[in-house]
Amino acid sequence: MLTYQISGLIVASEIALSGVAEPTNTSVQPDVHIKKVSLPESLDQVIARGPNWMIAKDDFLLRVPGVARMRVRCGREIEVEIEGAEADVSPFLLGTCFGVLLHQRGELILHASAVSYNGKAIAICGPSGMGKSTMSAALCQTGCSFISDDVSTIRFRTDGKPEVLPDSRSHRLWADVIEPLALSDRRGDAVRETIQKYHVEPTISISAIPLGMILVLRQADIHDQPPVIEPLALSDAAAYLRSDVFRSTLASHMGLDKALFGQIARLLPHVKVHRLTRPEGIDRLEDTVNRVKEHIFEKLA
Amino acid sequence: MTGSLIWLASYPKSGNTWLRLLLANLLSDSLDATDINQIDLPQRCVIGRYAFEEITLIDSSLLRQEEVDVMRPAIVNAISAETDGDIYVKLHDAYRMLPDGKPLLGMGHARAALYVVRDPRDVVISFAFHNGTSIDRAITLMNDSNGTISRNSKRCTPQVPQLMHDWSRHVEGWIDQRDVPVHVIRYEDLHASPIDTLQEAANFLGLTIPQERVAHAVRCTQFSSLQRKEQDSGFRERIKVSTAPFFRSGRTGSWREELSIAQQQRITEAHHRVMTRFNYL
Repeated sequence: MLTYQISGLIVASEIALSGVAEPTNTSVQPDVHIKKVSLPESLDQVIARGPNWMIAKDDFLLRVPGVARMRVRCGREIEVEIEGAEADVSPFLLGTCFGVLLHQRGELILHASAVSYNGKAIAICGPSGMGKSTMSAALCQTGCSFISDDVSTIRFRTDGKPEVLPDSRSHRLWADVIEPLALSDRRGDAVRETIQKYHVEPTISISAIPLGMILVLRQADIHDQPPVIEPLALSDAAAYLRSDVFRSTLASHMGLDKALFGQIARLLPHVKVHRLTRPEGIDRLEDTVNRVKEHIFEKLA
Repeated sequence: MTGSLIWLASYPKSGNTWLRLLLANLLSDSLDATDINQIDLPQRCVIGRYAFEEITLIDSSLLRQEEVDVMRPAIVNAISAETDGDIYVKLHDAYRMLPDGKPLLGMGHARAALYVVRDPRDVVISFAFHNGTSIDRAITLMNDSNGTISRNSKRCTPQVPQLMHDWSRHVEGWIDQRDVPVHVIRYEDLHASPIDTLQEAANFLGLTIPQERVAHAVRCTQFSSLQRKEQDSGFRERIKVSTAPFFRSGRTGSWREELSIAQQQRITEAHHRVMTRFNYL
């Protein structure tokens, strides 16, 4: 049995999870178990389904054809029936399955990468392919520290202020980004064999960081436009954040709309939310990062 | 079962966008031309990574091409199930079967297909500018039986990879399939007789459109006007690596001046039979 720490949870797993830190204290009881089992074809009392997934109360079944079927239960268990190579399962467990598990535990999770500056966390959220990981990696090259990649868990302290939990999963970056960012010496294994997206050793934050700013990342429709950062009105910010909840539509199917609305409403008084519209392409990254840096340094000084 | 999707299929740079603009202006109630950056046509995209992830809950960038392909029929099925009325779907995919013998695009979702074919010697020039490559490289892709777009494994592309095969196989794959009724539009006919050619396509789709509206749609999409609009406000479908505007020339037969004899031969030798079938030779 292997032990990991993910988003503040201790995870005991029968499957190796690539790019995840091991806990400092291994004597703690696990919060989550990942087991290899034989899974049923279907769940009872299905609430919603898609072509390769179904949800019941506190229960979720996902199939990645040729890779595995995975079941997530009660925020505590992930069961896996492997269809292909065991080494291929990890990115899907850590992505969708762990996201669903956090939803089942009632956490507020954003589809966001997060970095910290001056003791404050900056969450960069947006759909897949927007450049969240690239942007956060570039910021880490200019004085920010890495907190989380792709999924950011936000929790409220007893005084009501939000903080981002350290994720303990490594940064994952495409080959095209690693070299321009001078990260080749920190490049680890590929996320999956034959896919040129790699684990990159980050400077990991080990404690929760107060959330200071959220950047809603979107790509400009037309090329050759400069990066733009604009503050969002509360109603727009709420709508963007709801849409950038990790696996947002699935969260609705899970009956989480009301809870998420409440969590986002609690979040907004404490955090500046801005929309960052970035031009496409690695050649425009420096320009965008400089603009974001100026913005962060000004607002979080 | 017959669905309500309408495939708008072509090899890239063969007039697919022009056709969509014509259809949008044809179906619109407005007297103004449709905005090229917000084409007013009921359309859906079945190859975007965002839609793929929304429907399957899987980050498609973690999948190998064959794993993405296996899930493509389910994507079409999901999009078809949530739409009502005619929905137009632009495609550059080859019409092909998956290893299980079923079509990549599923069965029973589309009621018709319009396929635009263009002289490959003109296509290749436009394709080279579009992809920011040399003409020779564009010919190599066009002659490659495994020719694929959006397959950059070093970065995340906005679309999933689409296998096109070579140009001839793309054309014949679509035109000779029997799953969906298909109407072929020659780009050159659309250029020379736009009103008649568009009217025939509308008739094929069972659309009742007054001739004046057809003429209006053609006026709205004159190439010089599209070029002006792109110059003024850019065009969102132009990809970053392009070395010319998306609406670059719009001419037919410019290959005579722009291709070397050797380049012409590489194309005609590879595609002689299909080029003859469509009167390009």
